[in-house]
Amino acid sequence: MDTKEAAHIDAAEHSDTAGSTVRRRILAAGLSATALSLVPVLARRAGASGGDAATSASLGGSSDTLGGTPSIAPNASTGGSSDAGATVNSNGGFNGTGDSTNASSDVSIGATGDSTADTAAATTTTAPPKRPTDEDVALLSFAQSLELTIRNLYDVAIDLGAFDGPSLEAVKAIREAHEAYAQSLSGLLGRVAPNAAIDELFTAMLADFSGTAEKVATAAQALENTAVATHIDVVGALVGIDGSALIASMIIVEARHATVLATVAGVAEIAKQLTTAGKALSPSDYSSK
Amino acid sequence: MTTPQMSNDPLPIASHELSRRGLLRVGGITVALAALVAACGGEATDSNPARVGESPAPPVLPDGIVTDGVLFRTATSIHFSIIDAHGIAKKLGKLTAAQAAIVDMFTAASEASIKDLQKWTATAGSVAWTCANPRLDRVILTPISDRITGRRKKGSEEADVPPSDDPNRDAMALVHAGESLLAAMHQSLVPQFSLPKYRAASIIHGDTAARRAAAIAHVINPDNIVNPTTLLNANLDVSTTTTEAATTTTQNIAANDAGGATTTTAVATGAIQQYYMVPSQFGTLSAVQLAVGAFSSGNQFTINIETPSLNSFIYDYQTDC
Repeated sequence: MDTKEAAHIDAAEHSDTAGSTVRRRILAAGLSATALSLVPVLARRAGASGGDAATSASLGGSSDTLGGTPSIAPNASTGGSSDAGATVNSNGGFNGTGDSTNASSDVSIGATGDSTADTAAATTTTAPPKRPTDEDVALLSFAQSLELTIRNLYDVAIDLGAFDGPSLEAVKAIREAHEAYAQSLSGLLGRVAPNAAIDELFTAMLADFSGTAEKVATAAQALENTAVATHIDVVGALVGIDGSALIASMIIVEARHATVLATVAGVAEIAKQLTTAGKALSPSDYSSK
Repeated sequence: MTTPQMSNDPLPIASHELSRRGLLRVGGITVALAALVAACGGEATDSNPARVGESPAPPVLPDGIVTDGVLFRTATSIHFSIIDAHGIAKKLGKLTAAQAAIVDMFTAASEASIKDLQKWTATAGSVAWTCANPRLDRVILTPISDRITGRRKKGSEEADVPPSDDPNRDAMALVHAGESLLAAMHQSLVPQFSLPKYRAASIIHGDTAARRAAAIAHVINPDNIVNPTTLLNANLDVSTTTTEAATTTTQNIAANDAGGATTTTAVATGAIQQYYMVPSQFGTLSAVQLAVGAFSSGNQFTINIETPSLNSFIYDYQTDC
């Protein structure tokens, strides 16, 4: 190979090397541009930021369907996920324990689907108080006097020997229950508790509690029904939750007392055992406390 | 002609040949820079993170807000469920005609209560509920029904559920438990209502349910009037039920036969659960305990029926029965 031929070969090799270099540069530029274009995406992923609603809608889609009520109703029908829906709004909800700091309000009706912030802002009602109000004290005092009156009437019947055996046991238990109610009301009322029976009512009922077991039981059933009716009226007027809860727990058992006394009086028919006839008493009916 | 010289001069990068190593170096630097920028990025929260591909939005339950209307709706649903329970008792309990008549009377009473509660629901601003409580039916009534009829084992159960040895006994116990639950429920709702008039509207139905519970307890066993525990707590000097406390000058806390021994109503092994007309001195909010089914190892299947709470309320957003 002469010099000229060698130069040609050398030039050809140089030409191939130059073309390869250009291709490599183009490839490097493309890769670099691709890598740079990934920087914002990587930054958004790593920092969990930058995803605005528009971006989410375009990628994930259907963000508008969040909170759609129709998708919830089937759960309600099966009860399968009611736990998940049991979130009680801390401002407008109610915890069911009588906590006055977290009480119920009618304002929250229809607030379903609103944001928490909106609901909180809309809640304006105040919770019912736990302790008795001044008006409640008068009602609860009357209730306590009624309970003491009933206890005293049972004492008369027991002392006169109207009952014996299982009937006596039942009547004594009922008598103790009424005394316990009076004591509980005394605890709720404190120093303002009257701790005295209603003399006028006691006198009026005394004759009915001085006869035979059947007669006394019949009178006692009527008196228990009267107590239940009175206490229901009291619950319907009490503002404080503590007093309402206490009276309610008394009503439930006094209603049972009435049924027990019906059986003691010899009432065999279930429908008559369940009678709720009873006229509510009012504090205004009696002058004595 | 001069032969072109291959230059090894490293000066301008544009004129420098890009090797594979150099390409990797550039790529690595780029990725490192991207990671650095990402790490230095702000930490803003994103409720809708970027996502590739189609995916349905996760369903979000509405807030369950407890209102007066919700409480009335719930009470309505429980009455419906107790009617269902009475239906189970009639269907499976082999009741006598007299017993069936009592259950029918109780069912009618709950139907009357439902009408009243539905009116109060509307007054409180909610839509009246017209069917049973799905949770109570699923969690309580279905297992009870299984214990009366018996069924094949399922899930992780080791044996079949045998049928009851006395369906009539279990059916009457179920009726008693249902009425006791209604009484306790209405009592429990009283302090949850925001207005006194709603509380009175609720306890009226608790009153009637308590009477029914007492009456059915008397039908089950006429001798069970007052719970012995209540008698003991009342400290009555009735010789038939109380135990005299032994006088002692020294404390003996380990003695098994100490005076005033605790008398409980817990069901002894092999014993049938007892129900009393007056089970306690005050209305209780504790669970109603019901024992049903055949005895196994001396005990029956026992289930505690709780008064409704947050997981069984009928919220305003619930629309389907």
